[in-house]
Amino acid sequence: MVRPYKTNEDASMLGLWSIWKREVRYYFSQPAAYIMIAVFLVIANLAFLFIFNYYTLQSSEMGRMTSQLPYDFTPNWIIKAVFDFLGTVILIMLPFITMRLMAEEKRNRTDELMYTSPISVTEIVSGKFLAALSLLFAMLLLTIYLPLLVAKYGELKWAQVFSGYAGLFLMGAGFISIGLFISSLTESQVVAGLVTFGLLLALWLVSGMGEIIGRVLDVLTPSLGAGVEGGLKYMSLNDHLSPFLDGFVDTRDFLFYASVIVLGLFLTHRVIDSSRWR
Amino acid sequence: MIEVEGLSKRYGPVEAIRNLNFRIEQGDVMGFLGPNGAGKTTTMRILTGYMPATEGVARVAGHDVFDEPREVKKRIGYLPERPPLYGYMIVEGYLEHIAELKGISRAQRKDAVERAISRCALEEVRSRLVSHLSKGYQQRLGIAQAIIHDPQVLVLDEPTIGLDPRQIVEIREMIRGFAGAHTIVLSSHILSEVSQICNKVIIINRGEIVAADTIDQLRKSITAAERVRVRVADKKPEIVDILKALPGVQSVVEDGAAFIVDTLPGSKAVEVIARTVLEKEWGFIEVARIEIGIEDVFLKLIEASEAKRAEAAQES
Repeated sequence: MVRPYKTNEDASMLGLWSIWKREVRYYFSQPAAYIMIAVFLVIANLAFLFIFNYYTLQSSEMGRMTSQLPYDFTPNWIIKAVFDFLGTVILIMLPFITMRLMAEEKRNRTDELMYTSPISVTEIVSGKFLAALSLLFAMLLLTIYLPLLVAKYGELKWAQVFSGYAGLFLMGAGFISIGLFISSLTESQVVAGLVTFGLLLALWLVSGMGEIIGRVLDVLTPSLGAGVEGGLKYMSLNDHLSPFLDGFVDTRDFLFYASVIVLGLFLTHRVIDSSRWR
Repeated sequence: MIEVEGLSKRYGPVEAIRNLNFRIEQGDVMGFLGPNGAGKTTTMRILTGYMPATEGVARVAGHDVFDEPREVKKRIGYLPERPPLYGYMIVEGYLEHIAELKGISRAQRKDAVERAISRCALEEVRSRLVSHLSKGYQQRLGIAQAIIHDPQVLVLDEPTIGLDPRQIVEIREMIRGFAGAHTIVLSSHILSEVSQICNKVIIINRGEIVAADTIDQLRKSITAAERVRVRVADKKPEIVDILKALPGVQSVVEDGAAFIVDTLPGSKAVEVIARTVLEKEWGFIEVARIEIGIEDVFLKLIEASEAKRAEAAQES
C-alpha cells in the first residue's frame, strides 16, 4: 500500500533552500566558480597595487606640488577607486554566472523536474537568484583584506568602505536579476551570456550617451536636452553607484537598484509561467 | 485515482490533444499507446502539472491539477522522456536533493533515499557521479527520482526508450514490481511492452482516444475475425481468388510463403478451407488458426481512426 512520506506542510522555504543548495553545490563542484573568484581577486589585486602606488606617489611632497589632487584624496580614495574599477569587472563577469541559471535547465530538460515538484515558481526564481547573489557576496567578501591593508597604514573611514560594498552588492544584484531574466528566455547559454552582457553594457554607457544626446538637444531646445540627459542618466546602472562609493547612501539610488532587482525577478517569473501556457 | 474530462491542448493553431476523457482506477497499470506525436507526452505533462490544459479538467486523487497543483504534485511521481538528472552530482546526493525538493521532512529524507536506492537497485553506483552512469543506470535513477516520495501515482513517459534489450527487460520487471503500490500510467509506442506490463490500455492517435479498455477485452472486441494461416507447397496465384470465394471468408492476404485468411467468427470457414486445400491438391503443409496479436489490434484501430478522419474531412 501507499504510505506517503510526511511532507512539510509549509514547504515554501524548503523548496527555495534546496534550489539554492543545488546551485551553490554546482558552483563548487567544478572549476568555473573557482576560476571566476581567482580571476576576480587577481584583477582586484592588480588594480589595488596600481592605485595604491599612484596614491603614495601623488601624496608625497612632490606630487602635492605638481598636480591638482581631488578634494577627498584620503586613504578612502584608494578604496573608492578600486571599487569603481571592480564595478566594471563585475559587469563583465556576472553574465558568465547568470547565463546558465535557467537556460541550462531547459536544455537538460531538468526544468520538467522543477515544475512538477511541489514548489512554486517564486521559490525557483528566488532560489536561483540568491545562489548567484551568494557567489557575488563571496567574491566581494574575499576582497576585504584590501581595505584592511589600507587601514594598517592610514586612517580609514569604515562607514564609507561598507557603503561602497553595499553599492557594489546592490548593483551586482541588479545585474544578476537582469541576467536571470535573459537566461529564462533562451535555451542557449551563449546567447544568454552575450545578450546579458550587451544589455548591461548599454545600460552602463547610457550615461555617457545621455550627455552627448543632451548636448545636441540643448542646441534645439535647452529644456528638452536637460530632461533627456537627466532621464538617460537616471537609467544608467553605474551613475547610481558613485554616491555609494562616496559614502552617501541615498534612498533614490537604493530604490533604483531595488526596482531593477524586483523588475528582473518579476519578468523571470512571468516568462517561466507563460512559457508553459503556450 | 485519475479522472480526465474533456481535456484539450492547443499549441497555437496545432491541436495536440482533443477532448480526452478517461478514468484510471487505483492500482491500475495503464498503458498509453500511440504512434509518436499522438499526444501522449502532452497528456502526461498536463497530468503532472507541468503545463495547463487549454480546456477540460484533470483530477488526480481528487485534486484538480489546475486549482491545486501543489497537492497533485505531492502525489505524483514523474519520469519525463529524458530523465531529469544533474550530471555534477553523485547518485546519493542527487536523490537527497530530490527528496528535499519533493518536500520530504528532514527526519525521513535519509530513509526515503535508501528505499529508492534499494527499490531501483542502485546500491552499486550510489557514490558514482551521475554523468558517469550508463544509460540503463541513468534510467533507473530517473525512476528512483519519480518514486522517492512514494507517490500514489507514477507517470512514466516512454520508460524503456533508448535502452538495450537486457536493460529493457530489467526496467519492465521493475515497473511490474511497482504495480499495486502505485497507480501507474506509462506511455509507449511499443505494443508488446504495454501488453506485458499493463492491465489497461488507452490507444491514442492524433490527439484522440481511439480505444480504451482492458487488454483482453480490446483483443476480443477487435477480433471480429478469426485468422487462419494457410501454407501449401504449390503456391499458385489463383489460390487467393479461390479462397476468397469460400463462404465465411472476409479477406485473403499473401504473406511470404503463406496466405493469411480472415474469416467471420463462428463460421465453419477453417473446416471449409482445409477441405478445399486438400481437394485441390495444392500440397498441404499447414492450415492453422492464429491468434490476432495486440500489434494487429493496434494497427487496425489506428487505421480505422485514420479512415474516419479522412471521411470527416471529405464531408466538410
